[in-house]
Amino acid sequence: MSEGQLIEKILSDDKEAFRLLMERYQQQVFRVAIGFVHSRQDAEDITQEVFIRVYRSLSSFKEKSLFSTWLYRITLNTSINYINKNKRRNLLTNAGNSLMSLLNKSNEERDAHQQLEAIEVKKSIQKAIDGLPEKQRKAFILSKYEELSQQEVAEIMQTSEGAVEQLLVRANKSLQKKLAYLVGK
Amino acid sequence: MKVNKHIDDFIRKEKEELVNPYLATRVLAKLEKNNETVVFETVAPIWKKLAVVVSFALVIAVGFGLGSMVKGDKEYISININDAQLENLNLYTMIDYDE
Repeated sequence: MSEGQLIEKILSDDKEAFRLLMERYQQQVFRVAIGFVHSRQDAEDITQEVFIRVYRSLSSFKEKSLFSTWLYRITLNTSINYINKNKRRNLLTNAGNSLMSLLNKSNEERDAHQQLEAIEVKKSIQKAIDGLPEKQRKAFILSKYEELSQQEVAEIMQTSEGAVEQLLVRANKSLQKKLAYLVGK
Repeated sequence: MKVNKHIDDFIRKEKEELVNPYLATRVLAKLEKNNETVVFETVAPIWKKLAVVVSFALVIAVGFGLGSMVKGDKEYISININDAQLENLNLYTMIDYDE
């Protein structure tokens, strides 16, 4: 069934058609969301919120762009809103994680040490991505997690291809700078 | 290059995560619970805009109506607007020099 047919059915209150639409797109929404929050649980919450928003505003989708473009825009906005709403909670979680890693440091086993190092590297990358300015972060996630072309990213972000290229160059430079210390690891 | 490899590994691992297969069921259950149907927003905003315009026009018309209904004795204060009476023009006409 084509996207247009599915949308038409959903608009005539066919919930099964909406299930089909969700099953078709849930993995890509989830991938973008996980790029923003790096947590399975949070990414699922965002995915759920995205599809509820889609259902509520599907009638305003005018098919001027592809459905996937519209869906990506909703996903980006929902993810940013979710992060802003949960900033305080994330601070507490990060503090808790840091404390746990400090406690774990007392363990002198080699495997545990390597594991700890891997966790540290993971956290550094996560922090570096999260520290990117909003536009750079959006462009980086769409390009790296969804492997979209610069043209597609530009359409989703409603900007020019040149601007997207600049955003990606700056994001990469910033990540290289922040993570330069990993070179020796 | 090493940094890029670390970043690519990190992203690859995150991309391997699969969404909960029951997510669609969960979303549908939530929509059912709230008894939601797709809202047609194409018609509603026009009526909303029209209602706002009509209410503004009504308020203005009622204002004019009420204003023109007010009658009664009004006391006017007379204001002297004759400049000649306000200040002595002789000061500027050099009359003293002529004399």
